[in-house]
Amino acid sequence: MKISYNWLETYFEEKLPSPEKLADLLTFHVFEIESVEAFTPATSKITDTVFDVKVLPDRARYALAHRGVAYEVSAITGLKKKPLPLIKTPVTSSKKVIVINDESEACPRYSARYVEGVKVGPAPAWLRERLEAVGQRSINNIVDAANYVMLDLEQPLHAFDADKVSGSISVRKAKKDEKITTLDGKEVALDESVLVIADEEGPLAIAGIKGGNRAAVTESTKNIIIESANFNASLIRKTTQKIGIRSDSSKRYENEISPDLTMMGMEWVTQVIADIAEAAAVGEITDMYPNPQKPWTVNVSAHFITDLLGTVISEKEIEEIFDRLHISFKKQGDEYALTPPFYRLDLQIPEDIVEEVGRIHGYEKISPVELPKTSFIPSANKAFQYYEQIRAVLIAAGFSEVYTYSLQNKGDIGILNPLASDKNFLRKNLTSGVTEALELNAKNDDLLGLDQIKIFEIGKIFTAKGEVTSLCIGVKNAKKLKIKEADAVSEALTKIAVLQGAALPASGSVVEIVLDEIIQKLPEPAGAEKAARIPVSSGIKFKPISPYPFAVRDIAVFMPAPADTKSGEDEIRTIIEKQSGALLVRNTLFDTFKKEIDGTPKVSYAFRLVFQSAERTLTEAEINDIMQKITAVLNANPGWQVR
Amino acid sequence: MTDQSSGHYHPLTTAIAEIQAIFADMGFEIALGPEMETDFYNFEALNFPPDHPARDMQDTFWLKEKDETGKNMVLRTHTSPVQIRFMETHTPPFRIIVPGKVYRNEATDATHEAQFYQVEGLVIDKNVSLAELKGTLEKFYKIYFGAGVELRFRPSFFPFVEPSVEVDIKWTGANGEEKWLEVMGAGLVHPNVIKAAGLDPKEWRGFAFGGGLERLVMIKYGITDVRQFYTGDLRFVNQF
Repeated sequence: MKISYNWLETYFEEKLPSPEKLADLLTFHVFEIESVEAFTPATSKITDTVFDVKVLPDRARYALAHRGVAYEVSAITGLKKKPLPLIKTPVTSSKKVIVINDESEACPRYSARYVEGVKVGPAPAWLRERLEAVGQRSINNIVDAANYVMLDLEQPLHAFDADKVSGSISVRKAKKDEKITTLDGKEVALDESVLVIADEEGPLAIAGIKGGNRAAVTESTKNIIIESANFNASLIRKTTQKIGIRSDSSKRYENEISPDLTMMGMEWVTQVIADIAEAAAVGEITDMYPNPQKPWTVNVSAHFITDLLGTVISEKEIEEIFDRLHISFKKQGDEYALTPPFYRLDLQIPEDIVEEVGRIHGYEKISPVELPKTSFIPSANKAFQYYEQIRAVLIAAGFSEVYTYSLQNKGDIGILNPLASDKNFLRKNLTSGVTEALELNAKNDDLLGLDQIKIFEIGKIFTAKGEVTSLCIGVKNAKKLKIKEADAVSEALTKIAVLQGAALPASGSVVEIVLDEIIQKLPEPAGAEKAARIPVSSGIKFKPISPYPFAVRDIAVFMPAPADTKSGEDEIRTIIEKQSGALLVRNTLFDTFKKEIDGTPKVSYAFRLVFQSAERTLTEAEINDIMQKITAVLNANPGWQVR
Repeated sequence: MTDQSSGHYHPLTTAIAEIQAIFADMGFEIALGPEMETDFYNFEALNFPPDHPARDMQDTFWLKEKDETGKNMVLRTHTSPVQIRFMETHTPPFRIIVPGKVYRNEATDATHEAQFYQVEGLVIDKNVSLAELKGTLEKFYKIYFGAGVELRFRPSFFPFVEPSVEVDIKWTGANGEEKWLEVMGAGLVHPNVIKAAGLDPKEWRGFAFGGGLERLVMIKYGITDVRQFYTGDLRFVNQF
């Protein structure tokens, strides 16, 4: 929600801290400020700063408005707020709106009044600038006044063209086939679940959400009816979801605002309209408020607050925080009976008060404390330990672990609101994901330096029978190998102690076994596992995967038999790496053999080189160039011969 | 011609093992839970009222499958449901760590995936404070990232904890620049949650915390694309 710094400052006698400082104070004591941006309205040279305030559902009851944010600024900085300059506009017209409200649960409060002889036109510059700063469009002085007061007080308001309203206003549920065309020209079908504001002809507005265009205020409007009301949060939210229309009004209602704001909003907007639209006469307010909100008490002790926060805060400071938050209190010993201000509907239980004291005091002031000894002795998690055992065996046998997608294009359990049409089911096996992964990895065999891809996954699968944990093992030969894929899989399976005695699946290159029942039959582990594996050091530096293709070249060279095979390999490697530079990403020795050539014992070393750039596709020419350099340097050694 | 004799653990498995080891030292046990959840365990018992904007805070995947009460099930949006499941079946005091896969109906990009892992923690005891929450998390992050890391709390809102905080850590990047990064949500367990799980909030209190696991791993190793965790690509996995 956008908040204007200049607008905020109008509530204070003293200057506010700088916008950056203010953003920090708000972020650390009440809510996150997502951005701070300079702003100059099109029609003036006065610079302003606009904050994007992240108001979450709990504080949305009072802080979706400048005055609510000002309340917080005052509580956090201690700067005194100016009171709302509210003067009750004198009643000068005898016209009174007749309201029939049979839905007091859906509409706890409804107030309306006539204002006659208004001159509808553009709003004054100061008002247009205020709205522009917070990203609102200016419509006309009446609608702008209503928006301004809503953004100021958090009370949504509406104005009707009084001459287009026939008879009394009723707050009722819509009838089955009723329709309404909204202010933006959209035709909406209504039903008995939707609350409407209606006159004798039919619906005038979708209550709390959107006005209709039948009685919309236009340039030719002479007389208006102002509506200030309160609607049930849950009803408004359900309706917005049903009809697919949301608005600044509905956003405030669905978070639950206090009906005590209604009258303030009515008087304040009347005053603004009288100021800017030359109202000739103002009628009496019709106010239907059968069950007024009563003050409520929250009881909490000082030691409850300090116990839960885990820090020392003096009662003097606690009471100062209550004062700053306008929470009145009665004290008995160290017990407080607190009465929160009417708009703080979020303060209901002692824990809510703990949060108020903690955040204003400052969480940075709470020193960390370690958890004390406890009587709780952790047990082992049977399934978790056995999964770790299975993993350890497979890793030692050369299998790498993958995690694949649970959301696929086929399965037994469907998703009602999928993210993509090919991710509309939950996977019913791991096999399809593992099979895809085998193919993907086989394509990169040289880059990975693997002849055979060996992977496994342990994860949840979802079938009509329920959610279970499955193990899937897969092998794919990237090159022609003596070891058959299915045999490699079977061999791995026999190593897994956990699976001994269990019915194994038919052999294949990819096999899958559900683990739940197998693990159930196993004994409980001896004790809580301290750590199956000690944490790995963070010495690993991740190298981003290049999206560019890799190139493969083989090179073989005869050299006079060295003292040991390894030293010969190392010597050749050094030369290859030096001549290739950073483009060489893998350098694997794949063959050696001894041969006598012209009476001299020689050893042949064959290397597979893989080249890849992180920035571009390498050209044939540049790779050939590198190979030529390597060949030249190798051949330069006496008795060496590149094959 | 294979370059390695042993395979590679997926970095998330290693992260879970490391985190479990750090918390096991502090007396925590591992708890796991289902990925398909009921509305009750995923939302209602965690103090998300029905038809409330708080539910909009987590984009949910709804399933065609229905639970025993006839309500559509969900893919769990967080690991917090396991808090309720554990509290219902165990006598306090206890300390648990809950790693698990969660799902959010959000467009995917380099920093967002529809499926990802979270690690949740829950401590229930007679007297538990925000200071102890801070101490526990600070100890964890200093071991996982190194002693140079700093931690701070910011006010926030989650229906299942009150007070609610966001947890940031100060991280020094590869080129020396320092940044504050949001890593977790946390707070003192809301009495409604303790009650919904069948315990007496007058007798028992707690703290809870939870955060994305990929995020921690990405910070630690300088990984920039979260989608790489789930492609099954050994060019990724075999680096760990």
